[in-house]
Amino acid sequence: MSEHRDEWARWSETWRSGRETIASVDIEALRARLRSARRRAMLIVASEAVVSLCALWIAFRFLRSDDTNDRMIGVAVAVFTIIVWVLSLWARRGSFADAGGSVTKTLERAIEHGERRARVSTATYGAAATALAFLFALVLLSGPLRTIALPVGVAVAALIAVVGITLWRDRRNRAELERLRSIYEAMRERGSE
Amino acid sequence: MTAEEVPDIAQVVAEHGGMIRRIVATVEANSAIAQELEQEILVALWRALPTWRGASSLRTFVARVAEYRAITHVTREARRPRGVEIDEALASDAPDPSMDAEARDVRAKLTAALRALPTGLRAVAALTLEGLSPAEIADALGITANACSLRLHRAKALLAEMMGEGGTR
Repeated sequence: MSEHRDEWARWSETWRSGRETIASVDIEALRARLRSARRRAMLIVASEAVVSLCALWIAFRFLRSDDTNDRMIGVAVAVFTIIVWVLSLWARRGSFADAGGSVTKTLERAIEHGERRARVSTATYGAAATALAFLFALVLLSGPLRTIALPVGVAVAALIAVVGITLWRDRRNRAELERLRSIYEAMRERGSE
Repeated sequence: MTAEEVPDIAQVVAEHGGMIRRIVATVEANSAIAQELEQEILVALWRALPTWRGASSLRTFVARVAEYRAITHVTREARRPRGVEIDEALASDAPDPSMDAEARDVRAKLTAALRALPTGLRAVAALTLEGLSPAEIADALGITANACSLRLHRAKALLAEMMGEGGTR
């Protein structure tokens, strides 16, 4: 037994011997990486803000219309935009937190974050379905279709765009979640691998 | 902890750069990707250093961040098709001129054996070889000391088998 201990000690010594290391730290390169990561994150937030502002502007224009149907569409667009925006902000909570906890804790946090994003996607589909049902009811209850064709068309196009983007992000998020869960399972297994 | 107490990244790398490089070597053979992973670890470390409260040693903290990045790298790469595996046995396995031939051979065998171990076992074995105690490894990985011992036992047996020594069980 002690022979095996010696052997392991020898391996450990050999493993740590030698002088190769990360030669030097290029602080500027690290800063550039951090700046680039921050830029990416800010770009995502800014693009979401621009899309939301556009949607709110459209809603505002509808709300100022004399037509009741237009005002209802305005309310639907505004409510939908606010719901999606608030949910996105909620999902992003803690996403910029730094790694530093134990490996499994960090994995747990990443999985929780991914699950939150998945719930936001589900809520977005739900909100889109509700908005679509609302528009459908509006078309049925309103007068001639041609009078509301444009606003309804704009609203439907916006909904399709939002659902399309959500589907794409949701697919990526679920793949990432699956990967994280598999790592987590491997880490939690009690030495029986 | 005040800003003044946050360890300087250059100093941390000077002290623990070797460990980071060796951890990377246990998961990546391609030199270019290994360097990229090292940079990823350094960025993560730089961002995480202000959160180090001194509850664990700085070495354990560095090992934690490096291991997390290494583990996520493995699964990310496992799902990504690789064109050509041309860089095997370069950089991370490159012979260190400061080591003698026998040590280099043992080191190369150990690196290959560690890469062949399952994720959970590899992490425990690599950190043990780095000289971390079971308590420190359990802290870094977020597993119990008991699970750590079980894994280490299994990892040692597998490593001995792969190193061609045999008979450690």
